Amino acid sequence: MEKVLEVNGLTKLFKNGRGIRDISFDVYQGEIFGFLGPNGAGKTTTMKIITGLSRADRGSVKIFGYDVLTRFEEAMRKVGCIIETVESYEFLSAAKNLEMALRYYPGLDKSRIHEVLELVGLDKYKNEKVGCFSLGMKQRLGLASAILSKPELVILDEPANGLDIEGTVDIRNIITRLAREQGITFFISSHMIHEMEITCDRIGIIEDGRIIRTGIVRELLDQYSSLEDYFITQVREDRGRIA
Amino acid sequence: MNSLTACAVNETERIFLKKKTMVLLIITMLIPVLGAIGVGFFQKGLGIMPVSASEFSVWILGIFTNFLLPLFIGMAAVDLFAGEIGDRSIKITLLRPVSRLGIFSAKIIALAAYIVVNLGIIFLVSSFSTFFLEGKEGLIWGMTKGLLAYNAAILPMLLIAIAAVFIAQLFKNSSGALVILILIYFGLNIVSTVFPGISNLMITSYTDWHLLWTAGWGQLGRIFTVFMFILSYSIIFLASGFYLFERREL
Repeated sequence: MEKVLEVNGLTKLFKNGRGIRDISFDVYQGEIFGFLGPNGAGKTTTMKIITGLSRADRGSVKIFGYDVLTRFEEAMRKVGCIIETVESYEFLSAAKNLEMALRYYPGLDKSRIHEVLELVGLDKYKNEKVGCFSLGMKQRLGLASAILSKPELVILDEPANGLDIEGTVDIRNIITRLAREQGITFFISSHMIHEMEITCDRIGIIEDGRIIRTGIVRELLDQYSSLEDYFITQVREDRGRIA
Repeated sequence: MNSLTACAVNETERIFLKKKTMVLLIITMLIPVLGAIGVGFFQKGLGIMPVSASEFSVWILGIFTNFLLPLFIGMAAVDLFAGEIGDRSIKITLLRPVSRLGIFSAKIIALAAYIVVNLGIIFLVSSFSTFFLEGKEGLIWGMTKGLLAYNAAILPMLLIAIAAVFIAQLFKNSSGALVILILIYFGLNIVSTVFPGISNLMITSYTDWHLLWTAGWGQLGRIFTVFMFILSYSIIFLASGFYLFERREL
């Protein structure tokens, strides 16, 4: 399978000594790769570096073969993302927010706005200002914005943030449908282990700024009763090794 | 639409879709009208003629370029940089397929468009406002000179915008940035007044550059000198502003 994302030796240390160390992994075309780890493990830092919001002290990131530092525009052309929090212009309507985003993709027309809003269940609110939206609605709009460009890689940092159970299930269904039907590759981070177990094909466990394991979810579930069981075992083993 | 054009259209549209901008544009339209009514009152009631109809639009331009326009431009610059960094909405643009140089350039283009629209509105409204004034002899010539002055005013206002962009990026919230910008602007004006010998070095002293353009051919040398100052400062602030923007981490 073709690599769509290559992360090599990413290291970034903050002044407080925390950060990420020597993070390396690949994401392959058509898979849903999950980045699983507790809060503060380094998931968002890694994703920020991958998407150019932040810079690494060392290491490199290639998206579709383009280095994000030197060929950012080409690297991000087929990428949609939500990093850390969903941002939108609150004084504008949902449709206007998407219309502005659509301008970066010349091949798409305005009917795409209706398509994605319908997909995330926000079509009837398209003319309402985002400032009036609930956290869950903003999260859905963020997902709509991420998939607006018909991307081949979607990077989602905690996509279920702020969503209720129904919203979480909806987002999961959208992700799996887009992956299965349209072959979109997803790279998702979350600390919600059950969601990752049902959604992802492959996972990487990140703990204390390091990737301690990667594995195929189906194979792991043959050996362990649940992903939670696997996660706890790996983290404890790793801590034991360090101690 | 390529990335830079898309970004420039978005940035410009966003400035004009804000209620604050609309309110400021309405104020911008009201000031020349109120100014003309006030001057008309002096002419008719007291027989004093502070400014003739033919010079009115350039007179109004002086009022705007000395304080109001730099303030409006500063507010827009702060919104586009410190404001978007503060509320993190800058991420919306940073995560699209457009380089940081493209985003930075697009924001400067948007500020330039904002300046041109403001000056255009002031020119049109102040020209129509001469209806309230007497002494319309030489009005057409006055308006032609006015048009020249308004075009000339774009450059020093753009310099103010570029300098404001640099300063705004030193702050993480818009209110702090705006207060400091206003203090710096007044500070530089005070320094220019107290030490006139060094006023040529102050970017705030170029805001009345348009007057040189209406003063005749004799000012060509001075126009060129000031142009070189404006150009030099613009390059310095653009380079420093982009350096900060390019290194910004979220």
